Amino acid sequence: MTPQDIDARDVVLQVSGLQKRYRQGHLAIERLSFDVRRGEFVTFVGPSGAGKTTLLKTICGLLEPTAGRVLLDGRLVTAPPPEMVLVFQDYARSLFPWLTVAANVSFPLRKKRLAAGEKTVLVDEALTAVGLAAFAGHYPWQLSGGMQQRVAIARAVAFRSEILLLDEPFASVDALTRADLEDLTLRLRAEFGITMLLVTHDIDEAVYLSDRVFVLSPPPARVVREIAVALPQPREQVRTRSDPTFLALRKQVHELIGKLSDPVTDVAEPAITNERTHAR
Amino acid sequence: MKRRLAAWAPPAAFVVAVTLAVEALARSGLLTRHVPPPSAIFVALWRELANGSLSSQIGVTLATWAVAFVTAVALAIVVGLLMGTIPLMYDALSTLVDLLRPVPSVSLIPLAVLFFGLGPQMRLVMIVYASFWPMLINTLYGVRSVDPLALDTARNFGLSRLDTLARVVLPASLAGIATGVRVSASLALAVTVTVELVVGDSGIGHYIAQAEQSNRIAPMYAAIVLSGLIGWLINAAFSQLEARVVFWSPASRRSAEAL
Repeated sequence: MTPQDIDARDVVLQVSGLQKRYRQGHLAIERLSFDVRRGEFVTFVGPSGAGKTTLLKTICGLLEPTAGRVLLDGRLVTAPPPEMVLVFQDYARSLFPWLTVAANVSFPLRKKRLAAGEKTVLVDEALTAVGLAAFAGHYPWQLSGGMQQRVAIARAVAFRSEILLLDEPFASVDALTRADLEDLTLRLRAEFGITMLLVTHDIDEAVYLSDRVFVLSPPPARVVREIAVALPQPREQVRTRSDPTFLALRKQVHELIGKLSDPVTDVAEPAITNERTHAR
Repeated sequence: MKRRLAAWAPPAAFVVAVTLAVEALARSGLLTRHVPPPSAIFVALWRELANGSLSSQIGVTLATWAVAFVTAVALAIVVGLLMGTIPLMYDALSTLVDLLRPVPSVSLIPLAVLFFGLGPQMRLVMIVYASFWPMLINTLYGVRSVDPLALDTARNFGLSRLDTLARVVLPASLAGIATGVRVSASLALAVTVTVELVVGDSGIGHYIAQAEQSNRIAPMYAAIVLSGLIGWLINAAFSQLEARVVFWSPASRRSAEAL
């Protein structure tokens, strides 16, 4: 799937008026509304502690919203649906150390009641897609951080997840591995048509990967700006990142976030909420 | 193999050196007659094992130990999993556990005699009671240390509560359970010898008490050394087992690299 195939009417995820208040009274998300189209790559970028993890956990049903709702293919999300898988930043903690790489990837498949052969095919295909076919028999703790995160991604691919929720998945790996993993997610989207929702505080990464970028306010998180990324596909690390459009978008997001973190600026001004800015 | 030898050599050399030093001191008459030379202890150990009077007690002690230890482990794992996974159970029982755990088990021997008499039943109850606590605490620690992110992962993939317990909580708790098994195994042996010594009519503990009463000092030491050796072997065996069962734990990985 390429972004040209994305049908503007084919909305897979509808989030409306989403609010999450923790039991202690602290408000993490405030009235978030947005739609995500099938096959789209959408990124939420915002300052640290902006409730980005809470947002993803609430979308996929791991946390119950205080107000508002999430619709997946028009159905209300009340518990984690099989179509959405969250990929955590902390890969080492979300993989099971007592299982081999292959067993970790097939871990969620038991519920699907597949024949043993089908399971093997899914696992092999997913591990090949992330370039780890040769490491099926290893244990996660024998692999590097970047490879472990690939295992976590392969697990979601094998599960035939339609939407991947990526919670700063590349924050704890080195820069080269990071570029590799970024391109891997783009490839997986093209190959399997997976819809990607990424949260990150890395502005370059957000612009490089996305079709649309949502800039979040400091907590409680609101969408302060939605930016369509009009960069040609396929993205390519060196060429895309030196594209004038990339640089302009990057500057725009930087300035927005800089303004947001500045305590003097009134960020609560409702006029800029959900304002659409096109970078063309 | 060479590295293994290098790891074993210093502690073995130290044990030999201390034994030789005690031997020299005992033979020079600097120690009281209550400390026989180690050579005399080893001769007595060999003789008492060979003529059956001590070796026949090993089986008695180990049989009691095994029955009580397995019972304590099974009970503690069930209670530990229940307390660790059901908050209501934890709230209800944790204070009771904290109150009972520090009571020295030996101080309960008179009470146990009142309830169960002097027979084997009383000994078993005492040993189960004593070794239950470290097993429970370690199981509980294991269950409660399961990473919330691992539980989120299980929920994310739609695992049922039972599946989560069997496929995530139990394996993740295995490190704590294995530590509990090792600690309880050694403790159960110590308590077995203790109750045999205080109220028993057989076993290594009883042998020690009898040897002391009939002033057979070297055989008494021999039996003490024997119980120490058995405890050491049990601990070594369960350490090995722990490293094999919980091969993924950071501690096991380190010791595997060291070999």
